[in-house]
Amino acid sequence: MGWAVERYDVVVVGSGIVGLLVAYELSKRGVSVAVVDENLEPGFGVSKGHAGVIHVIQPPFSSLKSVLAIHGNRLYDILVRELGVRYRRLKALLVAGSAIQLAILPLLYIILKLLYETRGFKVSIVSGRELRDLEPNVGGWAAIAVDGYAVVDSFDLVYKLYEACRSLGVVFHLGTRVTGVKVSQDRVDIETTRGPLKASFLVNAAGLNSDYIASQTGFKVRVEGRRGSMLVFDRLQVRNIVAPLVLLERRGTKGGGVIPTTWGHTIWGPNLDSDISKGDRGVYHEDVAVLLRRFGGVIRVKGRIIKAYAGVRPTSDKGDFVIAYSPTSRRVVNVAGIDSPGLTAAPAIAVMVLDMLRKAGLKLGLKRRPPSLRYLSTRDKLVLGLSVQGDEGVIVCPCMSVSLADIARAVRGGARTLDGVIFRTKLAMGSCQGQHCLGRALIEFSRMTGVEPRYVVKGGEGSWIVE
Amino acid sequence: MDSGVDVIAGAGLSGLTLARELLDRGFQVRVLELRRRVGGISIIDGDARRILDKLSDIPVELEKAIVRVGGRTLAVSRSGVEGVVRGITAIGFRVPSPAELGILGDRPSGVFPFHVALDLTMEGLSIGRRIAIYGYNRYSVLLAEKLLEAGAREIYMIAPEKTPIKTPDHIEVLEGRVRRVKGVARVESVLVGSSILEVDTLVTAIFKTWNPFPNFDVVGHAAVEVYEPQALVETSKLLAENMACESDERMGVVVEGDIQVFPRVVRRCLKRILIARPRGGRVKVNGVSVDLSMGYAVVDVGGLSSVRISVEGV
Repeated sequence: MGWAVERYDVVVVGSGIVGLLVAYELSKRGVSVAVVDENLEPGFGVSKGHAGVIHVIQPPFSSLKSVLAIHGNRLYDILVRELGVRYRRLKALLVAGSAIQLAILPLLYIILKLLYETRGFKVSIVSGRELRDLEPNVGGWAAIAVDGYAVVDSFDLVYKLYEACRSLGVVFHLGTRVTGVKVSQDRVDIETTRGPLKASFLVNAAGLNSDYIASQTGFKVRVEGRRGSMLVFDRLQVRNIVAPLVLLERRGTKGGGVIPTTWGHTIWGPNLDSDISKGDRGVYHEDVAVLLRRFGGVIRVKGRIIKAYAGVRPTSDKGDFVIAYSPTSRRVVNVAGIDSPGLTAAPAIAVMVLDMLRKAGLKLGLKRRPPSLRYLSTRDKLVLGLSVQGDEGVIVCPCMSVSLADIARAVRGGARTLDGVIFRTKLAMGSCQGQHCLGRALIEFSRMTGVEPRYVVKGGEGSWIVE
Repeated sequence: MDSGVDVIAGAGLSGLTLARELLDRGFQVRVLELRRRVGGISIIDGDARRILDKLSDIPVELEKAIVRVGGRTLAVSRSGVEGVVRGITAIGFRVPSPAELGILGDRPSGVFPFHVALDLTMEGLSIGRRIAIYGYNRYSVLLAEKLLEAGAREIYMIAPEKTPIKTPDHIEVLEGRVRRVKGVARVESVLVGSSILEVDTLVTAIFKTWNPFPNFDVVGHAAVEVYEPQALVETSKLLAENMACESDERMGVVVEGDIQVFPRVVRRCLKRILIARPRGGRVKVNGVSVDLSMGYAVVDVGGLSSVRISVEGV
């Protein structure tokens, strides 16, 4: 950055789903935007630990998060079409696997029908036979089906948003930490580890660090990370999201669902850790036991557990999303405590933030057409029975059919780390978990970027791979 | 002549031996290899290399992958895509994921499956200084030697259970199960049993058989858990003999206990079968005691219509 301090209309702190969506929507309207993130790549904070479920509604129904989730859910179809993101609409099936669960099913059905159908999500009862047709690997006497859910490839979403932002002129300062914010009458000054930035407005979408950024602008909120662990299987077990039917979710036993991913795997989880764990992304043996106990009874397991990982939900002390101006100035919009269903609500959060910025005086231009980011990966082409040639035919990862050309595209799309390649291409995410590809992937990534292997990192600073 | 096989997936010791056996019988077969070199994990094994050297005349299509996509099996390379109907899987062992091995915790850099550690080391790169290798077997010991050559300062071999193999003096062997990995950016330590081992690298070297191609038969490490190069050669010879059988009639094979039998489907005219048990010990084959202290044995079953195999002393 040097001495010439550029001034942007808006600086967004945080390049997770929320930060990227805000930057994307602003840049489409001709606003000059810079995004600052301490991580080396977008989506490496909270957003990378996501199971990719687009929810319907979340109790309590009067909460901001519930209102935004319903709105966000409806915005997804347009968003993913615009960006060409992998995405599929499906149902959630609450399965009665025991006589007791079957007994409470009618009551729960009536409750859900009242709550969900008034908000536009169809609820129906699925008989045992229909359930077997719908989900051959699910054992149960009956189920309640809720329409309107979806699964999205959240990595695909992050990186398509990133590419779209870049081509719309958004400037990214990655690997850059914000060390201070000063709000004055006519602007916001942002101090970073790589020099100062000036902006007319600041959007704080810093995930687990949103409380720190907020405090810099005089806004008090406490954000804690709550871990959720997930197990990944290398086969599809279900077509819809499946969970055992329970009347009341006790805290600490909440366990997500059985989730089919858009790339042919199944995720069990996430559970909800009752402990506070700001940075901890470890998975514990108890987490695995909870998930196996919760879903083992309803699902016939297909495939192997290839991964156990944890995500972190930034939870505010207000018990709800916090989206508010700083008390001293409307030049700062804080977006804090975006825990579940944050991914679902994200498009609606962006709409709300844009509206707040407009009310605070930001001029929004006419919507520009976003660039087309549609392309077929080598795997897509093989699935479609299309021919591949040249580097597309040099398969590095046989489990997920990832080729040299796919790695090259990831590098062109801005991958700076090996995880950046993995998240974009699904390299090493198959049955063998990288045994046949990671060695070559490192060599090829190094060749394509011109970075020596010993300077290539897995994800964050200090995550060296070879010496 | 038609062997019933179009391709062999994998140009390691068993894939190349199988190709030799089939070519010698006048069958047409192609060997496809994902990597840019042949030899698989046997390239660090002196005994295996001596056999490999004699197989260097077998034509291999390098950088040609076999993949399963949308229910079809395809051979993919720079020159395009071909459908594959009949083949043999010779892709070697699968290393289970840390989660499958019961290793939880953080997910920092520095946790490598065996093959990645090998591939990077063969590229002349050093994967770490203080290295724990989980799995104690012929290949993990060979890798340990390679890693020491490549610049590793300390190597800890971690044996999940007692294994009757020789220990080189300069390598420390610990018994126990790796349960957790700790580290934010890079591995800082691993939890073995209840003790913490400070290392910057964890290599998983526990091996399982696997066959990702449901329509393929399978040979070598992909089919049976053995750790002797000669055993790999034997599986390839047996499979070729089995495939060359005139008759389709099958031998009845009954197995009791943790014993692996190769080939999976034994034709009546096959004279010998391979029996493996990584834990060693002795087995009874139709009442006759057989020593498996090498982890495997090839036993004569010529003329028998059925075989019963059980662990001795159980």
